[in-house]
Amino acid sequence: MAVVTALPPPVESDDQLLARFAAGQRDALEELFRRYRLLAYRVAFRLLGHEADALDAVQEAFIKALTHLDGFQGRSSFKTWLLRVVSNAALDLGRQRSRRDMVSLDAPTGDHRDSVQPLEFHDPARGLERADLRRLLEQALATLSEAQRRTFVLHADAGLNYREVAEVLGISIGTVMSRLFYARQKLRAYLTRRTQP
Amino acid sequence: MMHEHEDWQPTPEQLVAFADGELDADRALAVARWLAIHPKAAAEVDAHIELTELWRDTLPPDPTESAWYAARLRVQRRRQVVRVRRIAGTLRSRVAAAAMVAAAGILAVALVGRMRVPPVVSADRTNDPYPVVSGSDVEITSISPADDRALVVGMSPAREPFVPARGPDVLVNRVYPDSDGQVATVRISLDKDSVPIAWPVLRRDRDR
Repeated sequence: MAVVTALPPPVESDDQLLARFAAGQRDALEELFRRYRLLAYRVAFRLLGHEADALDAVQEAFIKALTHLDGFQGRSSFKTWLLRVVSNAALDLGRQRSRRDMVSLDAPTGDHRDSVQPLEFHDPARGLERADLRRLLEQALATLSEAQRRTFVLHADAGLNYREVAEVLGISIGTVMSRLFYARQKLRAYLTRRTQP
Repeated sequence: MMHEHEDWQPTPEQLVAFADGELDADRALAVARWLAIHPKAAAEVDAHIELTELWRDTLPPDPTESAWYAARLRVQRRRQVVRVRRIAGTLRSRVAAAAMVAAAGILAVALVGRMRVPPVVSADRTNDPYPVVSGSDVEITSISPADDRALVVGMSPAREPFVPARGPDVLVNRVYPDSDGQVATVRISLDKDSVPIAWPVLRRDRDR
């Protein structure tokens, strides 16, 4: 008896999808969106700290990236190009938002300071809900410079390696290493201060 | 195999790169050997790894599938509008060129025949910050039913050129949700010299 095994359809590369998108095939856009939406969202969310704003940034980034495709072709991958546009859009939106409502992440509010319970840094799950922990990390992230914040988020949240982060930001790998070192120092110092009894 | 000098020690940046698994095999081995006899530095590396794990353990919750669907739909609609604007821009350029040719022709006839030249209105209104195309400028060959609300077709409600207001000129009292429960977030730049001042972005009402 013959056994017929169905092979999974070949996965289209980003370049193939972009070529189909350029030819007006809408499903190519859907696939690109599905492929990178979560990565883009995680970066935007960490930089903005708000779900709806992060979704706005993701939308803006996809529109800009797809409208200006010639800006990346031949020089980088669609993923790194998109993440560059996403992080730009998120930081722009963050600046607009802080001008709009004059609320700065740089100064954690008294409410948050009082509501966050002490964190055992070596056992973060204990005594602290994940949402509280996330908020605490957002506050720590806000103490970084914009360049450090962007570098750290692209590495820690988007999972880009040093070479990819360097490509996204147009900097050297040495600069990536330096920024990540100082970012971690600051983050740990902030968390230690906030978690000391 | 890399042979490090006895008094060699990794830089702090290299220790972080080691924690991230970003060093090449030889360099990573050298750092690992060095850390074996420097427990204080090894504890630092452990703390870096712990911070990374903590960070990845607190990734934001993923948006719902319906939120993704709405976001993708908005991307498609905006893309559709951009394409229509590009088509309109091309057509406007052609209309402007045609108008210039016509004007040149009329001028030539006037000069040759010494007749009085009627005033010619140029179609190239480059000073108009929000150009409006007429119905004859756009030919819609096909459109998805999901995108039909992204287009406004018909006569322009204003005959005069659009004059953009500035931040201090506008006071937003209230924004009502549309039939889908979407609310426009009206962002107003307070810089009095900036134009445009309002950029409405549809989004779900976060307070509901």
